[in-house]
Amino acid sequence: MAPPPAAFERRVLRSAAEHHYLRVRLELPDGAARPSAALFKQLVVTALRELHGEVGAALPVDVLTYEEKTMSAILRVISSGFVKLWSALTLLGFYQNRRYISISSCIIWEQ
Amino acid sequence: LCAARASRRGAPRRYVLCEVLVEEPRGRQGIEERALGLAVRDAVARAHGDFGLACCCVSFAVKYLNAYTGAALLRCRRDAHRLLCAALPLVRLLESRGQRYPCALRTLHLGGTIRSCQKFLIKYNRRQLLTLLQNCTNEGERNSCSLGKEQPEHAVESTVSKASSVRALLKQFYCHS
Repeated sequence: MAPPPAAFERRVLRSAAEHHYLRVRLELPDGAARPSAALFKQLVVTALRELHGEVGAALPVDVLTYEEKTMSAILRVISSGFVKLWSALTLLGFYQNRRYISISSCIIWEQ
Repeated sequence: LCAARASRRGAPRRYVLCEVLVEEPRGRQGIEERALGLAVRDAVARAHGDFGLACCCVSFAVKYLNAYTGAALLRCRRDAHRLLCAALPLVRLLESRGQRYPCALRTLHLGGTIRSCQKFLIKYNRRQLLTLLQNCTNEGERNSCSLGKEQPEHAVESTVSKASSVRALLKQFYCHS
């Protein structure tokens, strides 16, 4: 009996992707307290508010996963706000009123 | 080639003509251009953050402010005019000479040149005058209407060269109606 033909479906998204995904890692100096997931989200919103004001803070950004141990997270953002989010994360330099080095290494997936 | 042409003619600008609405019309006369500029900058900073403020401030200026009618002309770069227009309704307070005036800005016109904004302002003022006169019931009110409108035209005249025809137009208009 011949096996059924492999089910294959090709989907082409003609319009731009709805969401962009970023994988970021937070880098703090040694000994600094690690933020919880809620604090991490607040950090992201603070960064957005600082650089892009109320308009930026209102962007729909989701923290899909957050690992407290490695302080890495996957963020999902609506496509129109992707550049804003990335720039805000790059320019963020403070955490709890203390200067720290944050290099958010970004790997992007487009849906 | 395009860039070279743009740099020779200067960066393209946009002019936003707006009206300053104050609770007490008499208090409007204390408003300064500087105070208006600072209030608008504050609103842009609040709405669009450091990035928006930097975009807007590149060639932002209050080109003209009429303390009698409350007409104001703001200038910004063409790239940033959307940011500026979006932030204008968020202006709520003007601080001038230690006094605070609760206010609101109403955008009347968005133009590419001062000239086009001026033309619109003249047209707008004439239209306003028409409605004012139509609502008048007696001669006294009519006269006060025309006086109230002539002051601002006088102020326009001092800043914009071609405005001498405005008064003539207004007078002609008033005589006919």
